[in-house]
Amino acid sequence: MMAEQKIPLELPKEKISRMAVGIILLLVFVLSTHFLDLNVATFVSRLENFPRIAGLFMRLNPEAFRPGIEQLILSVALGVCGLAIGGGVSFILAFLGADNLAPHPLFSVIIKGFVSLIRAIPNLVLILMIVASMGMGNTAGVLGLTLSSIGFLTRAFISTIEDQDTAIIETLQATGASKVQIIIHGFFPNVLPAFLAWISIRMESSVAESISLGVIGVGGIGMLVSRSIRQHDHPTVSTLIVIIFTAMFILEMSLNRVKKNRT
Amino acid sequence: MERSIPLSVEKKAKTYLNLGLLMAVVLFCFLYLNVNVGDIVTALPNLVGFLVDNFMPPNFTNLGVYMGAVMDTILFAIVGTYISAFLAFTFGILMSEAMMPNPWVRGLVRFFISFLRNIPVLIWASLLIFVFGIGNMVGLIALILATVGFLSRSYAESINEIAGSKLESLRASGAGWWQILFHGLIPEFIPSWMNWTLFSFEINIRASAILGTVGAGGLGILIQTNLNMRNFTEAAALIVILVAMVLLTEAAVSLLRKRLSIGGH
Amino acid sequence: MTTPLLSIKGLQKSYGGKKMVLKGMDAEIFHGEFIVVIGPSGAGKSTFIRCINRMVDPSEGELLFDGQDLAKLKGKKLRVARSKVGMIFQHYNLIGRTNVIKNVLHGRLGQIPFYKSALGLYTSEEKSMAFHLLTKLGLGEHIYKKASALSGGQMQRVGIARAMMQQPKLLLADEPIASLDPKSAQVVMDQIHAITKENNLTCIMNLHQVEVAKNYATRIIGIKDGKIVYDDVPAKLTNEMIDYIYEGKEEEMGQPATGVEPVKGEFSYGA
Repeated sequence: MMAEQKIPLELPKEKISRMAVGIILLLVFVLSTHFLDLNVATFVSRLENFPRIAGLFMRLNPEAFRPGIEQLILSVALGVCGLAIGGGVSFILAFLGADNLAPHPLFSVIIKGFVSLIRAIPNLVLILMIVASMGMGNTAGVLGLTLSSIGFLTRAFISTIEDQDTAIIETLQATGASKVQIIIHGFFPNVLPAFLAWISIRMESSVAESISLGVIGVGGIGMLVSRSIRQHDHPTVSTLIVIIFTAMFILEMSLNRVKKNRT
Repeated sequence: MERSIPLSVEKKAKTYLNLGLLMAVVLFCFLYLNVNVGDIVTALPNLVGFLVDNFMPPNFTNLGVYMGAVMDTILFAIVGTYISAFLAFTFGILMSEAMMPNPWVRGLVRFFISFLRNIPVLIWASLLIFVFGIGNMVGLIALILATVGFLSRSYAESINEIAGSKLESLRASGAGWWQILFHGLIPEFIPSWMNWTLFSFEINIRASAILGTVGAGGLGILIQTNLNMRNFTEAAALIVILVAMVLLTEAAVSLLRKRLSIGGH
Repeated sequence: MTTPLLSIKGLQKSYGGKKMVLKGMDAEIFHGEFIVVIGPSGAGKSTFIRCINRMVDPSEGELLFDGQDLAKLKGKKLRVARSKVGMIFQHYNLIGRTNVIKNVLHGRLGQIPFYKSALGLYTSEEKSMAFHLLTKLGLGEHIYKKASALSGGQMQRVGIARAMMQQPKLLLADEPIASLDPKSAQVVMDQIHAITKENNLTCIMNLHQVEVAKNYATRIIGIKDGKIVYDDVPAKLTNEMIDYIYEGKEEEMGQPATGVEPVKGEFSYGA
């Protein structure tokens, strides 16, 4: 009797909703592509030149290594300084802004609002605003990277602190510990590995952003890249790309171990 | 004999050494750049003062013109994220030990993806413009290269986690590679796939806006031009629009996450 | 004497040529046997059972099953051979976001081409077999639930149904009750025991609970340090032998679910 009965593999309701999701996803893509009005034709016509130009890039310029590495150090230094100041500021902001530790709820609201505002402005736009105010230079670069480090780290630190079990606070309060003691003994040891992990993650993007800042003229290896591009100096561009990749790769590998501690 | 009892057994000396080294590096960086922390601290109030004096009130008279750029920025991010999500899934599979037994293929793909990821997006954009000339295809491709670099690795990590044990049952029943992929991996992968993809969409909204600064269209070019021409109130309007756009996307994405109940990071 | 269903000769497994996990094992498994493999953790039980269907590739030895040496098979032939061996896992290994009946039908994957399974083109015989198995295991009402929405005991029963769906000649079970509470463990053990008996199916199962093993097995294999040290009926398994097998790891012997034993008379398929 059962063999006669037709057994569907899923309920009709589920089948319909699955198909609906599929259709919507497809539609969003098709419509977006349509309205974007991509100039595919021009692009394809330029594709003919690609093999010739790619060939020009297949050489390195040994003389570019020295200035390249010098400017790389400058880029990395900008990233490190921005991260160092940003990390310190975030550390303080996070303990004042986390829900479970804030001295007053208002602190939490203001700090979180400030942080999401900074996060919403792309780092490059931030730099352009700073440059408009104080001109190009290392200080402008560090300030820009400091602000975006604060945007990233404060939020990350706050989420780590808020994930902590509040029982620690109560236990330590019961022993008569002061707020500062609670933070030092109850929180630091628990959150430090995660904080280090966040800082390592930010380290990579800080250096990457610093290299990008060069492209718009702040200085560092990015500036060399855009200058060599303007001079149509293909081997130098290739050399600089190799330097950037190698540096970023080494950075990534050496930070991988610390990054695992993020929770 | 009295003895001090150490409260923790960790190797204090090594920790202090590392800390000292770190401090030295940071100090070197400040000296190398000739930047001092005091300047940064005083620059901040100056910056705020400058912004208040010159950027207020934002001038929205050209709002109609801006909306086109806003649409472009959003559409770039959508199309870029879509294409990247599919490319990155393929690369993620080729990079994962569980689905790609050949170590040479895995290593090669890993190297390629690492190359994409470790070159900042603006450098990609400058290079592509150099090769292909200015055009919105170039902006899109730069966005895709950077996104694929980020997503492939994240996908591969999730795929390895799933494939570790769950797919063993399908292998044991004699299922072939495509069957394991289609009936086991893909259904299990969907939550992390959505999670990572939405996350990268949030990043791409910002990236798509800045690609304009190297001439790839969108809001960025308008902001840069107006700042260079010292039309600060118009630039301010554009920045307000950009911030609103980013915050709205984030709100929309978090709403979507809740509806799909997949949770954030 | 009948020919064995599976004969294992000189089975060895080492990782990276260094660490020997299996140090040469020989055993003949006959049709209809219910074999329980016991031994402390790290002795090689899991590796042993996984070598049989090549989830783990053995380093040396022969696995004669159904007229061919499983140890030598590759690609398509290996997949076909695997489809004749069902397997039940400690952690069930269901596809959580897929519904129950589709999980059961996954048991057919080795026997049908990709396009059919991808389009859901299972035959009505296959579908009603899946439905019957689930009904019999007390999951008739849950066939459209997501597998992840089930309790541990229910998940393992889906695992049983999936393995049976393969219409296997041999059933392997790797610690099928180790993640379950005592009550579910009892139900699951009974169901595996009953379903193998009913289908006259040969079963090889890893367990760490010696008492449970004695209650169900027709034959017990004791593994210690990568070698078979006991291979006989449960009745001959002396306490001295148990002590010898678990030497140095005594604490692992009496773990939960020691009370699990077959229900006499009618087998009940608990709800």
